[in-house]
Amino acid sequence: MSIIKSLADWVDERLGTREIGQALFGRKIPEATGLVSWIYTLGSVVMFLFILQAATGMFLAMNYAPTPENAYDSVRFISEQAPFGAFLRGLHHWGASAMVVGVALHLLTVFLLGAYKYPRELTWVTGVFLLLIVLFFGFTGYLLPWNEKAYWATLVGTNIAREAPVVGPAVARLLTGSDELGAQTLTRFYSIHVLLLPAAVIAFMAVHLFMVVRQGVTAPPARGGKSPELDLETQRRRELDKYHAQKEAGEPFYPYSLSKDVAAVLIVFVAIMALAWWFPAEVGQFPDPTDTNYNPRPEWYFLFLFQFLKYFPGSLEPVVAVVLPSLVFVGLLVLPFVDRRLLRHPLDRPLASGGACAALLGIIFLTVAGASSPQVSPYVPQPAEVAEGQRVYRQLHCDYCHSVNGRGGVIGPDLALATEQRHDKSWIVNHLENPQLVVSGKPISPMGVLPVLLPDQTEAVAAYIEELRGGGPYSALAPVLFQTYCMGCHRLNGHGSTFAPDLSSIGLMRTRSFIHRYIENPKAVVGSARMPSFLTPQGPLTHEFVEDLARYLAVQRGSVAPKESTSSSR
Amino acid sequence: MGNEAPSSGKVYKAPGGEHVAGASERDITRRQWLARFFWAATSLVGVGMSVPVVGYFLGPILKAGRPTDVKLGKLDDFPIGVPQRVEVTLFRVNGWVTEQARQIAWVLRKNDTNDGIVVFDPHCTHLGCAYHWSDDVKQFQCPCHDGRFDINGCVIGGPPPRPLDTYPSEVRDGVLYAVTKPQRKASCQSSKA
Repeated sequence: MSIIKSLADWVDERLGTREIGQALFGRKIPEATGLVSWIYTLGSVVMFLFILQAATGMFLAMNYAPTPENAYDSVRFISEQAPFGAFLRGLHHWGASAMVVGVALHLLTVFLLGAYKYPRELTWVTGVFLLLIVLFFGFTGYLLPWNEKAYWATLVGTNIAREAPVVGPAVARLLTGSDELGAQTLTRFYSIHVLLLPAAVIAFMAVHLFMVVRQGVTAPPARGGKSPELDLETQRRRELDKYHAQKEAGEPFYPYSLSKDVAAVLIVFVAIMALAWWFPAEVGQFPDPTDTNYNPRPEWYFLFLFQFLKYFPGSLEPVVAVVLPSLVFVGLLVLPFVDRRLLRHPLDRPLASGGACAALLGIIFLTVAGASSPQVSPYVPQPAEVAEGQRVYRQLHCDYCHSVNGRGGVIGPDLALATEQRHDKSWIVNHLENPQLVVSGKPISPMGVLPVLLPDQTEAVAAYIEELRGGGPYSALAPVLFQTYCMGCHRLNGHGSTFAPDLSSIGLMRTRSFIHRYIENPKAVVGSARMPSFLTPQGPLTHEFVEDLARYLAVQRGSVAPKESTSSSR
Repeated sequence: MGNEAPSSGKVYKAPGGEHVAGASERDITRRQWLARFFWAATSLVGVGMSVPVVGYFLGPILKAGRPTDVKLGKLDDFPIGVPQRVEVTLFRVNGWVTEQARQIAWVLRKNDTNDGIVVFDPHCTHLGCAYHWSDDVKQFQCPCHDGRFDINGCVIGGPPPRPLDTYPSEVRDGVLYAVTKPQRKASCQSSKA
């Protein structure tokens, strides 16, 4: 013990640690009770979230490759193979959302309590910049998984930037690094996300925290009486004198306020851990720029803006998407210099309080409306083996020779369209292992010169090809099942009712996984679906029958185009 | 900020000047209780953050690579009594990347049975340089620090600490296969070639 003490003494003598500690942790905090005392923990919660994001982020970066070829696969590696990887990604994912909520609440409460006023204007200004930085963190981080969601959301995001008057095209080019979303975009976003923004955040946070210590935490606002007509200087001096008295009467930061802060941090952290554990961040699917079915959606905290855009004609879009948010930002920045009254209690500032509540309600309303707006093509995850097969297919550049739905090379057959040759999975496996043995009339296939795949890769590629071709053989019962349960509403190859969409070419648009999931529970896939669930106990079919039916439908690739986008009734 | 709190409570024995004057025993215990709670909760958060982060970081230790079976060639193509350099191209999974890798091995066929086959790992057991077979002196020679091995992979000179590593091999239908997981040999009988 004495060794520790003498070591502490030694350090203190040189560094002055005790004096610094006293200034940081021994400083007094004006007494706050009830709800207000909990509001005071928001700053610490946000700071904890920053530490959480930094800690999880720097480790996630160890297994992340910022190139279009590898980004998606490395994220999938983190989520599916690295120990604790899915959990760590979940923490970072939900931590980001919590950060946005925390920063927004912090700003809102500081506004409502009038804490931005003299002498804390600079604290507020740096805080507004920190909010902007957090939003940029969200925007740049969203692209990094390089899945469909990330790709399309960023495409839309950069196009919004392009809409800005005068500087738009230049800004968009600065973001994407070239004419289109690609390798240069990803490296730019990555370095902005992991190098530039953290540096900026630390700089602004340092000033922000220094101001907090220097000016002290505000006292809870009191109702302002009818103050006599005094000049601003006198009012300010009086206010400061009153504050210093309140501060002196308060308790030190450690352990009184700090224990409350850490209690709030613990609650938030447990909530984030629970979310990360039960709702991990999704891996999604590899983006396909030619996909016309995908529904781009921004991350939920940008949804309100997304929804807001829908209410305006295209000609006003630059105003709504760029000019308006910029004005809000500038407005926040100049707020403490425009509103110089010293009244702080929310009830003494009805206009400001009312405006803040209206803005909050508006954002909540727009977010809910945006989240519940129908999706034309919802996401149904593929089986893991199929996803792995797709990865191997892409990485080994099978598309140099083969094509899928007409995209790719023409040396080998199209893997999705050649359904008349419905080989089973063992044939495909055998073909991948010994190409020259299986192709009749072609003693040596060009594939024969390729090195042999690893055994489980062969299985995965076979699973992927099988999924492309409809997901495996169906039984003779499947057409009967269709006649019995589906034809009352749906139409297939000229037979059946026209009440529901024609399914003659459903296999061209939907995979077996999607159809299976849809028959099981349509509403789980498309919220507004009118089709009932067909899975027992709600419906008549067992899992086996649903699978049989799904495989049967997944090979329906007739020429009759369905009237509407097929299985998603809107 | 919480993590930087002073480790010794001694500096701030009392909440503040004014309070000390009338501080009751109860006041002191509240302070102690809050301080304990602060440190307990902070440790809990710290542990909660460290476990996944450290586990993730240690991942490479916890997970070993998977060996694969590689076709080296037809057995009859390997001469008897002379180490042969074989080069194979195989797909290797490295994290999220499946890469085409070229790998070499030295195959020694001692006789015409299926059992007299040794497949050597191509790296010197000293520091991993690539050695080569010198037919003039009938030795494996390492260019880095002059390590020397005889035809059976036994050390006959230089710094190598152990005989050449080998790959387990197998002959199926007249074709030689090896498993990509080198095995160490502690000792070596330097018998006739």
